[in-house]
Amino acid sequence: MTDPRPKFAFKLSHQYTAVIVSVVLVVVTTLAVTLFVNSRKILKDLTKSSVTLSEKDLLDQLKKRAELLAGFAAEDLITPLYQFQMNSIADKLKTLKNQEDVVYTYVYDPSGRILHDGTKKSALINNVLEDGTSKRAVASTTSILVQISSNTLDVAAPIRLEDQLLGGLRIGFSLSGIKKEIGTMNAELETLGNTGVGRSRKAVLIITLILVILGIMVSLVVARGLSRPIHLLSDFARQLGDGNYDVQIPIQRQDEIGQLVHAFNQMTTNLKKATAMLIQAEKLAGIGQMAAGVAHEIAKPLTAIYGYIQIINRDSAAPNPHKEKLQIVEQQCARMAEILDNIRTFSRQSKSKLEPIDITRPLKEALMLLEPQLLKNHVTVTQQIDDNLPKFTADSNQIQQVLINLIANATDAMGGKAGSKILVSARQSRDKRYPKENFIEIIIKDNGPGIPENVIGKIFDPFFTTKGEDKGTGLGLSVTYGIIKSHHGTITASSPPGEGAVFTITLPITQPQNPGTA
Amino acid sequence: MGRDLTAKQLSIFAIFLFLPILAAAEGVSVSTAVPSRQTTLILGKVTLEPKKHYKKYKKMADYAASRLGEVGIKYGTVIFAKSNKEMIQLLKEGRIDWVTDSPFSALLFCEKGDAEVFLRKWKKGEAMYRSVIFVHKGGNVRALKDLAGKTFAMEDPGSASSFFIPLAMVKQAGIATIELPSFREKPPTGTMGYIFADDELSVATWVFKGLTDAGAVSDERWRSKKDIPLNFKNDMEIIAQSEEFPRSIEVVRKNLDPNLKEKLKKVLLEAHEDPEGQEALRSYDKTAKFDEFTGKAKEGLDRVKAMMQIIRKELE
Repeated sequence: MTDPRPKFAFKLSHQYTAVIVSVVLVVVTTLAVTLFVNSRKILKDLTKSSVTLSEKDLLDQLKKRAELLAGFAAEDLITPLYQFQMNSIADKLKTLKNQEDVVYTYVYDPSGRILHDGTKKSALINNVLEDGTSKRAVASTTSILVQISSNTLDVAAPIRLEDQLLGGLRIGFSLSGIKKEIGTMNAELETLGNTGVGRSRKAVLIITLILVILGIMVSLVVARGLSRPIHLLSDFARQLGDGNYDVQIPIQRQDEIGQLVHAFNQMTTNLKKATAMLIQAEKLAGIGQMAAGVAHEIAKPLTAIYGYIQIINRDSAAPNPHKEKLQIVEQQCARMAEILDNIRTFSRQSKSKLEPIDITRPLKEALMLLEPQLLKNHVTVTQQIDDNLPKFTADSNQIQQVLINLIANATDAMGGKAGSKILVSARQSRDKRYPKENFIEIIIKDNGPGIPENVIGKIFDPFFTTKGEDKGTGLGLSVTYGIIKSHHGTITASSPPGEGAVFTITLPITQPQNPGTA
Repeated sequence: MGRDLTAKQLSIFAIFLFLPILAAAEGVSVSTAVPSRQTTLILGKVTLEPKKHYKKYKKMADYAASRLGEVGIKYGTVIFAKSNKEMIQLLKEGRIDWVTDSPFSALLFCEKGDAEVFLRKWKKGEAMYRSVIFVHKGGNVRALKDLAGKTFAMEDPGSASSFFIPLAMVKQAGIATIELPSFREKPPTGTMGYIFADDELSVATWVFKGLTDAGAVSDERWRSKKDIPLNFKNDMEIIAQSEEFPRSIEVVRKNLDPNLKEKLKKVLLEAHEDPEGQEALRSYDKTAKFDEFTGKAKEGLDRVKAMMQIIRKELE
């Protein structure tokens, strides 16, 4: 027989690891790429914002400085301009020009004509500047005007003696310093940013590697954790396939795997029971068939023997030295007839009279019949019958016989010890295998020594007895088994350690259309 | 231990702090750091801006002193006077040995301060200069005679080219003059009112702007773009110029030690030939050299003396 398993296949753990690592790689790579792209963009935006803010801040500072300087200088120029002291004006403009970033200074008259340009050459004196900035500056006769062009910040301050406009002062501040500073800042930020991105890249690379390694390790551990029980289950299934029903997977987990293992173990137990029951059933069916044949063949001669011996014993009035012996023959014939009856019952040859019955009735009658034996053996029988227990279809006499057999067996097993107890309980139950059907579950439990493990598999065998030949025929439990089977029910025996024997009978509430008559 | 050290340090500090004070009080010469009058050559200058001139003039005084060791001079220093009057006083008291100034002031020091003309100074490289009187082309002054009833911008009361000389020229033209406090004021009829503008550029600006009718500067300044911007000059014209006058004159105390005087003259006359002297001359108003009053220089000096009679009132 060829092994259906593939010659080469990735192990589940490897597949799992590959999937986890792939997922980790994809996620981490996506995150890393996103981080790179975003961080660079964010950095650029941040740099741009910082530079813009700084530029604005620096420009504002310069503007304030320019306004202050122009304001003070305009005040200072009132007297020299009023008196047209040109050297004084020149000196003041020179002082202004010595200020940082100042690139030009003009004092002009109210018409905008330059009175002094702050230079030694005085090249612009008497010129009127016609550009827009200059025109706006000259037109601003009451307040300081700041105008910003691409390279210059131009501040114009009117020079007034009270309500008399004497002229104005213009100071030009170069923006190159600010631009240079901004450029330097930009370069520094860019350098910092590049360094930061470089570091981030290294960090992300390292983190990625660590995550991948961690992912591999974790996935290996997890995969091992997942695949180990599967391996065990696989081994278990193989052993089960080989007929070893004693295997149990030694895994104690609360998760789905644990539930699966538990289910498998349960299934094994059930399978073992079912198999045992099947074997038992097959064995008993074989025995029953054979016994039925034997009983059928023996029944006729026995009937004849039993009939004639009864006649002989009834009709013989004269003293007969063999009379006593003949009575023994008659008794033994009666016993043999009874045995044959039992065999027929066991092999389901006898007819059942099915009708809806209440368990309490056959139980009550059984206990009444057994009362002397129970009293003699100091056995207390306790009943736990559900109040709402429905009637079920069965042969009341046969059920009574089942109960008698089991209670009597239990009584015998307890050997008359004080405190012997038998619990008879009955309740409605369901079988998972037949969810649409309702069952009656009858349990007979004693507190006797229990059933030895090496015996429990044979107790339903015909003629098997542990009581000795003079005490039993070994057909009681076989008959019980036959009756239950004929009612499409099940009977199991168990003997939990230290708890005595437990017989569990399950009977369908409703019998199928063609109830068993074997 | 720390406290002991601090106490010691304080004691030493106190000794060094008070020793010069005690020594000064007792008239004790502590060290060679305090020059005596006899060993010091003192250069004088009238100015209201001592800070502006000190370094430049000190360099010249130091140079001269460094060459006068054989006549007992070891140090050179500079003293500034606020006015001609103060300078005259200082000269009289013998507290100044040597003074540099414009021709009129220099001659005044000679007259009033017991000083004597010493050498001609080629100030800013110029040996002689003139005074030019200019007006706006658009005005109605075309000659000196037109200045009656007009205003005139002068530089300052100590300026030769921009006050004494043009004032003398106007007076020589028969026009009475009067000083006005501001260009906004008007002179009496027939009189020319003059106002001090403080600097040449202001003089030019006033004339150009029509704040005054005329102004005067030296020919050297007239040529300077800094003092008279080209933009102004194009709209202005010269209506009169003076004769040539010495640019600047050095005078010395009459009672200065003759040996010192002789030796000083020699040093100054030769300074332009000495590298160190050249450096000192550059610092000393960009002077090219010194020379004696001979020839045209002497004539120019005589003209100053003559003109002084016309403007004596203003000069004093």
